[in-house]
Amino acid sequence: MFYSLLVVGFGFILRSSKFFNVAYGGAFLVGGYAMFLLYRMYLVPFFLAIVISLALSGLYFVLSNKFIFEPLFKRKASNFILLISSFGLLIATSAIIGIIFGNQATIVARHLSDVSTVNILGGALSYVQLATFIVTPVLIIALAIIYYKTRFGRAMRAIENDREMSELVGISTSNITMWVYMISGILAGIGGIGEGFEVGINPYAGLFYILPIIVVAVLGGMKSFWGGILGAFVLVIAQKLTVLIFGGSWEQAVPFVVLIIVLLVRPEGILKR
Amino acid sequence: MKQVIETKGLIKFFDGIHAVDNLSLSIEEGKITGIVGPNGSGKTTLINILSGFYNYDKGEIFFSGAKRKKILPWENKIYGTGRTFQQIRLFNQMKVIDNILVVLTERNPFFALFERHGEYHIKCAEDVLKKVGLYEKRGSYAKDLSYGQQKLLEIGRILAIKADIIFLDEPFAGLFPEMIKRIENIIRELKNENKTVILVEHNMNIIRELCDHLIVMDAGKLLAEGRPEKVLSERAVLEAYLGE
Amino acid sequence: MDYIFHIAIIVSIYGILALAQNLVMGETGLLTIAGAAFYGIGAYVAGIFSTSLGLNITIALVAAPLITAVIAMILGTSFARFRDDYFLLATLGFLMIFNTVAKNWTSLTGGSLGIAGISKPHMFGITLLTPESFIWLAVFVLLIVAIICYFISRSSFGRALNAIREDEEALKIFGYKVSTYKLASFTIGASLSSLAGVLFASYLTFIDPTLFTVNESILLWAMIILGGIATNRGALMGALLLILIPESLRFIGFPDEISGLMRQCIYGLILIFLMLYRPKGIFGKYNL
Repeated sequence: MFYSLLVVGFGFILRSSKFFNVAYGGAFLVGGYAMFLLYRMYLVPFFLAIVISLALSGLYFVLSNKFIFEPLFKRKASNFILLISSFGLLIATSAIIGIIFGNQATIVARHLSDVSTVNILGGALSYVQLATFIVTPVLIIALAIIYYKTRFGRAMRAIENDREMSELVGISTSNITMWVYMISGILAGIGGIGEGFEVGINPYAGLFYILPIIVVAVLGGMKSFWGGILGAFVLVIAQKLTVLIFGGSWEQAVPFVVLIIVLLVRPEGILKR
Repeated sequence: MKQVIETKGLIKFFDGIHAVDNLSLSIEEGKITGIVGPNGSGKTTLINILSGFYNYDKGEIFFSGAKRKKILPWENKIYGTGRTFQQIRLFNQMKVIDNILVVLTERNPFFALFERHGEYHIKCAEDVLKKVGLYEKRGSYAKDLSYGQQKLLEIGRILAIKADIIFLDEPFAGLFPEMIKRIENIIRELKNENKTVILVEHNMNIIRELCDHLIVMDAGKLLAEGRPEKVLSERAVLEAYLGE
Repeated sequence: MDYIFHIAIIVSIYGILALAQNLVMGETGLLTIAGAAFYGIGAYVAGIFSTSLGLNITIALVAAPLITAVIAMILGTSFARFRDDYFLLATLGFLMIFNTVAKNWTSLTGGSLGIAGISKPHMFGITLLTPESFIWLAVFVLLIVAIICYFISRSSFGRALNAIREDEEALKIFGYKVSTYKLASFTIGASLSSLAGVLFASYLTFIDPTLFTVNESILLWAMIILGGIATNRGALMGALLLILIPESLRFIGFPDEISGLMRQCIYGLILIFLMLYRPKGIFGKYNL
């Protein structure tokens, strides 16, 4: 569930700017830590805190685009350069956050009730998990509607197909790209907040999560909206099976074994489009 | 006359379209063969197949009588084929002389590791550069050359490998008359050395001047062939070109 | 005084790594992030040789490159078809798998506790216990690696590698078996990296999986790009600077925990600024 939301945001960026923008993990951290700061430290009300945190994570991503990726794009820099600079940004972000908040995992939850569980159909779910189960499908469907049905979504798809062409037919590419970064940043922020409530967030979580997300995006086929979500499910199933068979500690390697297998066998992913 | 290249019923599909369609032709040794045709008629595809850039789907290809089921790019050295590209492909961030040296030196990785370019290689490379008129530029980077100089350097690379069969994909496109003269002279010299040149070109005047044999392609098919003056006066050829 | 030797040893170790990374990424143009993995494999070979097998570390100096070469050859063969981004992804996958294996194969690697009590090198009847004596070994290995790298970049082989970086399709047309060249470069780079791993393990006498993560690979990127990609002296200069700059922070008086993070922060920012304003690095020769 968690992955599928994150991969949708990552997919937007991947398709519109054609490189693996790992700074997405930075937006994830900014969202989670902003929530921690506001909700836990400054006792801002829950929903207000969420709105501000998400705005911040979106803003982080928009600014990173404005000052780093867009200038590079204008210079027609190679993917090499874009990738390296996004890695640089991610590393710097997580280091700065580590300096401010410390290296340990930080739990965002303030009240005991935030982490208490409810019983549904005989299974115990924490509130966060419950919220994830409700919010994720709603958001994904909303995004799908935006992506496939609105003018904005059409412009997004046009840019994904051919940036120069869309500029010629009068789509304001830099404007649309800005909003794409905003949306992606917000989605990453949601992921960060969820992580903060569920298990606690730490400065390395950005890198830790971005890697499986890349795997999921590749796995599902980078060119399609639904492929990523499918990829997320495949990956989670593979992970759970591994835990059952080999034990929990090997879980982290699963995405990468899957990645290498997919790259070798079917580099275009599961769904081709 | 000896046939250096012969194709029989050559077919290449791209997404269901026949880029090369049942093409049978033969190219004679020591002649300059021109290939003309409208855009998208499969000229470059043909060269790409013959130089191992693409594999082909059906048909047969013979090089000097020997059948080649699969043409692998690295075999070009063995068969003595060389080519230029329609869109210039140089080793941009290497010096001009290194662009030439790299095609002169050892191909086997292990031996290459223990080989330094010697006087001999330098001399060969400099001779080639003198021939194409880039000797003064030998120390600059390939990307800093002008468009015409880059075209010359591409031709220089082919001269350096001493290829016997040379494919030139639009070597004159976008060049000044002076440059065109220079490249024409190089091609004539190649002919005098009994090399086979296959020339894709749009400029009919150059074709008339240079070519011994002309092949006209349209939609992947062979439309006409023969002596340039004769072929160019044929009605079908004019129609394909002018779209009447 | 020991402190200066300590820094010099660290610089030598990273110098080796940066030279190896430059060979693969700078000269050949293979965007690899597996640098830390081969470094780690070297270190673990040293650790296992010295603790479980009780062998002298000098044997590891010979064995590690060979073992790593075999691994790199297998990897390189299967990754041969990938270009650019995909090559990066595949090598990233390998690095993460290496990390997980190092963390989980407890019987061999000691799990997340790592391997402690790795012996110091013993050669010519002397055990190199102090930094003062260890530095000779480190510099000696660095020198060998530097000679190898200079030798390669001046050979015909090196020129072919550069041409692969520029346009491998075009080079194929001229009769090169490009994949063999790429494999050779990748394998040599990996073996050289593993030497640094052996030195590191026996110098520190202790290793654990957190020392060989993605961050370490990105540090190597930063080094070769700062110094000037595709130049050997650039790699050495980058290693020197990126060890010295953060090290100087220590004197300003940051606590240890922060200084580690400060270092990462500096690497990250340096990468961004270089990409934006000077992708050529200090000894700029090649533009990314």
